[in-house]
Amino acid sequence: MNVLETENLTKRYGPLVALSKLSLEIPKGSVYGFLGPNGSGKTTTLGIVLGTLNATSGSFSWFGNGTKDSNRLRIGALLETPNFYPYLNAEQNLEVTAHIKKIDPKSGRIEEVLKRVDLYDRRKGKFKSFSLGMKQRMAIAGCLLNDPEVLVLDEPTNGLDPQGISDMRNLISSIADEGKTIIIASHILDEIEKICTHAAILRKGKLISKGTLEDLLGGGQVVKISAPNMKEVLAFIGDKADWDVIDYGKSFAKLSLPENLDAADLNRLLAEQGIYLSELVTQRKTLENSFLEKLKS
Amino acid sequence: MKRLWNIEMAKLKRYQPLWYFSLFYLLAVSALVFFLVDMNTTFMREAKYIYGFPGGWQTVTYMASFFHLFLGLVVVIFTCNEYDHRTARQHVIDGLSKRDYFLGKVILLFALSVLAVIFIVLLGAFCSLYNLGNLNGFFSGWHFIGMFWIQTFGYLTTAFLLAVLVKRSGFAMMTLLGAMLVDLISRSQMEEWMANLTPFGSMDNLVKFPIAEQIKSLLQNGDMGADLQTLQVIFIASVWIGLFLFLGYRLILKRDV
Repeated sequence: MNVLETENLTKRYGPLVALSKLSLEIPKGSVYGFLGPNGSGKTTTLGIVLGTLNATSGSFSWFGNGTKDSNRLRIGALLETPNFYPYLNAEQNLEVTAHIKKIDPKSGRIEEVLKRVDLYDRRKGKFKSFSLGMKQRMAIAGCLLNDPEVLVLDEPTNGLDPQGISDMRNLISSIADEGKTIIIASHILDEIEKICTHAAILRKGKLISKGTLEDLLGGGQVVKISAPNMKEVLAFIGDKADWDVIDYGKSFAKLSLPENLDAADLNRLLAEQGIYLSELVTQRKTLENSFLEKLKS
Repeated sequence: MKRLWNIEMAKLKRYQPLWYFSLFYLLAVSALVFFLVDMNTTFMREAKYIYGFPGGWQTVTYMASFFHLFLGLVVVIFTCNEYDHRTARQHVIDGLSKRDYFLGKVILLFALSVLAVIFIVLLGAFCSLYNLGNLNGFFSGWHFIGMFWIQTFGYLTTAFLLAVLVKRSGFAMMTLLGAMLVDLISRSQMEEWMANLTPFGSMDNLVKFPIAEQIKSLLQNGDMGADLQTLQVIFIASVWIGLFLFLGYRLILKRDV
């Protein structure tokens, strides 16, 4: 079952096309990443499906339920910056959110989510006194208030310090472990790669590629090799059409191997040529590699 | 309805600027009325019409009508509060429909106008008690109160539309003041029948200077201009109010937040 489906979603600002005919499906239980450089249409897409932007054309449907406003009561979403009333404290701000989400503010749920994001001790602190990391966690608390089926996060680690980033990732992972669907937009490939099961790659408002992370990464291994005489190695590799040299230097080469070949095969083939490796390291193929490949093509 | 009220109260009851401006309105209207009461002790002792009922209602409502700007600023403050902090957007994301967002504000406009009316009724009662020592005829002339309510609601609706249009509170306040001035100045250049049709002109017609009728009857042959019937006045003002509410709704519905 799909949590969200979009069909030919388009958003124009005058002559500028911010989003062009985006069609995708987000399966229930997935951690779905929207990838792309700044201005690629990630936030625009989320804005449309969350009701803040009106699409120029195209359609979307949450839970197979159309565009009804009540769908959003089943979603928790953080779009761009955390928005709360600076003059209210954490509890009072969540009280507003609770009324909107049709939750009794006295049900104890507010305390629960504040504990969950580690802000319970600061519950009486005014929002304006919070650090960026705390504001971000406060926003997550707001998202979790209604125990949502889907969590939508836009650049959740933007502007955070390393500790904040790590806290945020742990929080997201623990939420994903509960089986909730998470939709996350980021321009940080590493972030998507660490937590997502699916991803869509956008550029200049157009969908470039979508699918499971394995599909996007493609099969095959990436290996880093060193040998006393690298010239021999490179000459040998140069003959193989489907071996991709990602990077090389005086003392090493980094290869992307075709699917039917693994590191052991490579080692054997080179040994048969009388080339003995001093180093052979297999690496996981990173999203960065395939992302750059996809952007090129 | 209850939910929308709860949402508005949760964010406004601790918003200090709102209370300061409301307090300022109450003090300003009271000050003017007390000034009038004080005049009674000096040289207006015999002018029973302006203190007793039904005339008393006309007096206090006319006095209060000078201060609609302050009530309008209260509206600007609570409307722009959500644009300034970008929480209007968050509320939509959290699941508030734009329609409910609009309705919540209309409920506030209504509540504020009713509170102003209650305050004015209390002030009127105070005036009569203080100057005449009784509340004779308290229940007569309530159409003055009704007209005052329409006028108040009209000013608040206008302020709301401008606030939604402009979004930034400081800018919206200046726009409201500017709109009132432009309306006033252009009315002074217009034929009277045209002046009766402008937004603020039509609303101002709802509450008249207390002894205008008496002066008029004194000057039987005098030309008081194209004076409108009460129903006509109400109709014109209501058209503006309806139009402003409709435009505010369309704007909220169609615009990206």
